[in-house]
Amino acid sequence: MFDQLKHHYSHAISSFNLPVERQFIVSFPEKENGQLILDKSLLSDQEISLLRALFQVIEGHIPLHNSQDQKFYELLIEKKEMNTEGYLYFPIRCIHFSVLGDVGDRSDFSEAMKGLFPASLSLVWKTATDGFLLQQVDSEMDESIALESIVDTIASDFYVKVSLYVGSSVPDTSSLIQQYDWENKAYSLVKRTHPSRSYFIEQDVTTYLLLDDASPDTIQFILSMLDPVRDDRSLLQSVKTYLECNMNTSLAAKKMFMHRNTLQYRVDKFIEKTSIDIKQFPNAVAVYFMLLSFNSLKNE
Amino acid sequence: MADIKFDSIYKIYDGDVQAVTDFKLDVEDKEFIVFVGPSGCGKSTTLRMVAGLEDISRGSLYIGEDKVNDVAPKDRNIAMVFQNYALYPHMNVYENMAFGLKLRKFKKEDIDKRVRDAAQILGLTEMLDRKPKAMSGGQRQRVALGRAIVRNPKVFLMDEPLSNLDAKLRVQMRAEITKLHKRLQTTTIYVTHDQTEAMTMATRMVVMKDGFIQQVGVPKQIYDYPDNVFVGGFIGSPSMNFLTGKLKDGNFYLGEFPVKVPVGKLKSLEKYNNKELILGIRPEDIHDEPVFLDATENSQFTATIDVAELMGAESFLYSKVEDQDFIARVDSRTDVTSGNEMKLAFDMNKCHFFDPETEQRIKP
Repeated sequence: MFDQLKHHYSHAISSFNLPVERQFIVSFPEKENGQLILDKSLLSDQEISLLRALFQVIEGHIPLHNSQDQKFYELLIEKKEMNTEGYLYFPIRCIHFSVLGDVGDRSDFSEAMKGLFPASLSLVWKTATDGFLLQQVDSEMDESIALESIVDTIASDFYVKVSLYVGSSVPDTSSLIQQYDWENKAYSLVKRTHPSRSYFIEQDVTTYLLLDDASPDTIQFILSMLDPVRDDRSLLQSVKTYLECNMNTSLAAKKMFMHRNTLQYRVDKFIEKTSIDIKQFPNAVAVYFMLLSFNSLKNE
Repeated sequence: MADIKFDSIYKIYDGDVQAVTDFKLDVEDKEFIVFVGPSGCGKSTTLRMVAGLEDISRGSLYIGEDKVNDVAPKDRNIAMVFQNYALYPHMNVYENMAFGLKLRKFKKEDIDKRVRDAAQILGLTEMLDRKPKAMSGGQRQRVALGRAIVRNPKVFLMDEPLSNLDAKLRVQMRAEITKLHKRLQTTTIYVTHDQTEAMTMATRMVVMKDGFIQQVGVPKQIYDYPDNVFVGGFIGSPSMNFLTGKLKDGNFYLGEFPVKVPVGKLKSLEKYNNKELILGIRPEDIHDEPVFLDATENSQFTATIDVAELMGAESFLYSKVEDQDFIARVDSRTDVTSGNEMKLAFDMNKCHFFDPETEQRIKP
């Protein structure tokens, strides 16, 4: 049905370049990337009524914002100049999200997301399905809730698929505006090329953007360096976690619920089998790239 | 409560990657069915198709009488518990458990009753005011279960809910989930890669590999009569031993060493005479007891033990016969250390033969 509808409405798009008020979104929650964004101005009243009756439809209006959310909307989306003193506290970062399916009452969704990302100042919808949280970052911040847990928790409560991109923290308003634009653009790109990934963190979208430009042959060639360990999934996962924990064995072991010595043994085993010393920073970067391309290859 | 029918379900991703192929299964009402298999076998994808979080590429899925392929996830009357459960840190246990009901606009009194009932079942009544931070991993997992129970769904879907717990707690929680199922009698689909979890919890198991169902059955049936080499190897720890040899004149030759095949098994092996076969034998069906050795002269041999692992009540002996590795599980009263030579014998009545090409068990 999705494909037939897409075929019928040749103007259907899969991004949000259309002004929000003209977006008419037909949603297929059970389908991956299952949204057709139609231009309301090109639909007859009869078509609109029929689509509303037959499908789950999200009409292109911005969900209501409270006054604070509205200020952030104006600052970051409408680029209005304003004095942010007194209501923006730095450092701050954006948590971008995209929802597939109907979340129901948006204030409940907002409550859930703000709870899962403590110290969030605001949840702003930029379209009917996409938005961002502004989260105040401080050194005491508890990052103990893993992003995949957040995705699963939202799925089990709201029965929707949510994807997340946790951006980088910035120190002031002008950096926030600049960073928001960059992240927004990068997220909309990687979201399209990696629909099965449910979350991205800070600069790993940069890696994905680079990898997306590499040819399959180049990726296969690079990956041949991992051949000796390619089938050892638990080893690769351990090494990835080790690298994501800044090569801190204790932290990575804790994250993987294993003894430090076990992880140390796995790291050594990786080095022995591949002859790549991942304790050296440049090698670690290279291997991390390889692991990401390996995963993205698997996902595709 | 409901039965679930998978009518030839497929999951095909863009680029023609078939994650699940021709999945046919009838899950009975009140059943606790476990999907088990290695990573990437399609078990979680199948579960997520039931949840509605993945679309069904082909085939029909029924929950009760209703075909639910196009039913929105929230309208399927299911509750999910994932491996990566998170509780809302700013809410106490009561609020965490009530949140899903609040979203569905249940009345306050109804929410209160459901939460208190679930808390009582899970032994959380004293902790309703606590924040997740002040709870242990096991307690948090119970709250995660409570969040699903309060919904009183037709079906529970659990995706490796115990994988993030340490080994001791996992054992404890799996008994708790089994007890919970006995009490609630809700149809449950449980996904795990852990064959012990599957064996101990399932009323029936579905063993999967590469998107295909390998075998469906009650745990004992699957353990005793694996349909193929994969199932034999995957279910059971240590794994089933597989030894390649040739069938000749009623004997299975492991190299030069003949092992007498019981007459009852020979009948089904007629067409394999003078051909290669795979013998599958569980570690516990290799014996060292003198009484057994006396009675099975035709299947005994002397082996040098490469490694002997004392596990407590039993020992695992790692050795070779005609250059093929095997593991025997013997009573730990046997005093054996690495490097020892000892006599062992196969219990040929318990062994299975597999076709070397199809890897399917040759059935009598």
